[in-house]
Amino acid sequence: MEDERIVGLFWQRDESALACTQERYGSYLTAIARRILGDVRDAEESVSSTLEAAWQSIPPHRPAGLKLYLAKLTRRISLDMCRKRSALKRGGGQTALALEELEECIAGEDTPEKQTDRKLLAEGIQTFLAAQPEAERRVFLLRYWHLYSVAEVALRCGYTRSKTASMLHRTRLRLKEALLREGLL
Amino acid sequence: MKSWELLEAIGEVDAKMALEAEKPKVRRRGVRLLALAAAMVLVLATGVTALAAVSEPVNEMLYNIWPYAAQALKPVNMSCEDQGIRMEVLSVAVQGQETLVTLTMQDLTGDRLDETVDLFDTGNLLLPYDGSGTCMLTGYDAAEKKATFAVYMRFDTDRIGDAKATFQVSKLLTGKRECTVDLTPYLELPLAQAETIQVPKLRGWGGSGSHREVARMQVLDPANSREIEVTEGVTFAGAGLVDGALHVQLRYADIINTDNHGVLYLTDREGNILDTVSDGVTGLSWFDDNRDSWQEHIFDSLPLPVEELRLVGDFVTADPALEGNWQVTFPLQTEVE
Repeated sequence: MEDERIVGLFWQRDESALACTQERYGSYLTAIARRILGDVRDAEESVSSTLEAAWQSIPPHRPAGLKLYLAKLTRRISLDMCRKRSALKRGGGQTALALEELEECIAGEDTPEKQTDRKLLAEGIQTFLAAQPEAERRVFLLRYWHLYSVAEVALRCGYTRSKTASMLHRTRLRLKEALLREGLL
Repeated sequence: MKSWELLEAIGEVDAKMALEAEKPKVRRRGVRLLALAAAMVLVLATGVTALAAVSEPVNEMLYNIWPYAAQALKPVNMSCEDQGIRMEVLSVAVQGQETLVTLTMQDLTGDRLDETVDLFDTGNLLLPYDGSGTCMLTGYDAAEKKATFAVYMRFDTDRIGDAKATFQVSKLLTGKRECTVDLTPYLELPLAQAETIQVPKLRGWGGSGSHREVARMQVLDPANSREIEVTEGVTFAGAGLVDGALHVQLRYADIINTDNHGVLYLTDREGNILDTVSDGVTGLSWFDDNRDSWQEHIFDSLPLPVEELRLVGDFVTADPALEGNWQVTFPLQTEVE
């Protein structure tokens, strides 16, 4: 069943919307959650929560791209679970490693910790990524949006693991510069 | 700020950009040069920094996209000619790992350039380091038959140095055309199990699967090609079922010199695009002896009965590339007069 019909079912409060969503996107969303959480059962729980969140938010939302909408929900819910359950201590999929790497973007600043507006921060990252060469942008998003391991990113892009790690390192440093320039760090 | 906030904020960037990153790509050799229209729109909204020495109408745009490199732009104004086309390097910047070159290509003898011209991945600042970059057409003056470009590159070195460098272009692609074609009439319903062969020499593929697995896949037998020209440079070869999946085969002429390419998708009868989710291989390609590219598009699950579907293709084709040898050598640290 195509997205528009599924969204229509949500709007009609027809619970078959959940089964249709699960059938169409269940495995895709589980893969996202599993990369973040590192555990199949946690991932299944995250997908269940995603469906629940979709049920609560559609309506009033009418997402133009259901896949994108669900993917963002799953990512956010999985990260929340990861944080709340201290899942990092249990291995925590790729999240712990990604967080460690991203420390590089914010480390070494003497300025007191400040609350950065999340929307402005996201806009700053978006602007930064849009101006990067396609190869660097792709590697960065596969690692930090989709939470693929460095080895998986290397495989997907056809690079060696060391080249991929090096690209990520340089992009993180440039991101730090860009965020500092924009006053977002 | 904590790295948690950063990781969460990354999740808020344009999801289309994120999903695009996940799509498989066929790697091309050389420096990939891309249009940056989307980036320009985004960055132009963020404000303008001070202008420096070089006076060009595109400067403000460049300053917003590549601030460090653009601030270092210095005039070069050196040119060369080949094939009746003059390349003039207007300015260059070297800033840390980054370089930015602005240039024009002008047709002195004919009318071969147009507002679709691009450097076909060949615009390259020759330096002894690995690098990657991007290019954008920043303007086209039809009266002067002159196109203006900015080429940004980043190299794997902390210091590029101040020696001489050469900027080189070897191909120009023009006459780009985009069209959408309804391929549904070419589907012979009901779809039949197709005659297949093992994929000839695999060139690339999309979706999951290892090279070994994909290289063993079955594709429609090109010997049965129906040879229906859907637009100049694109031929519909056939469609059929292979192990329950819909395979559609197309041939793109001379892609090395034209960059002809396309995407296929399914819609319902009202024209709404249907999302075809796949966990497997979504397409693969191979070259034949004439250097045409054969592409097999695979839909392994159909969201509607095939009678209710429309098969649609978006195609981009171009005239054969104009080849030449345009090179300008100049000092990287040119002083501002």
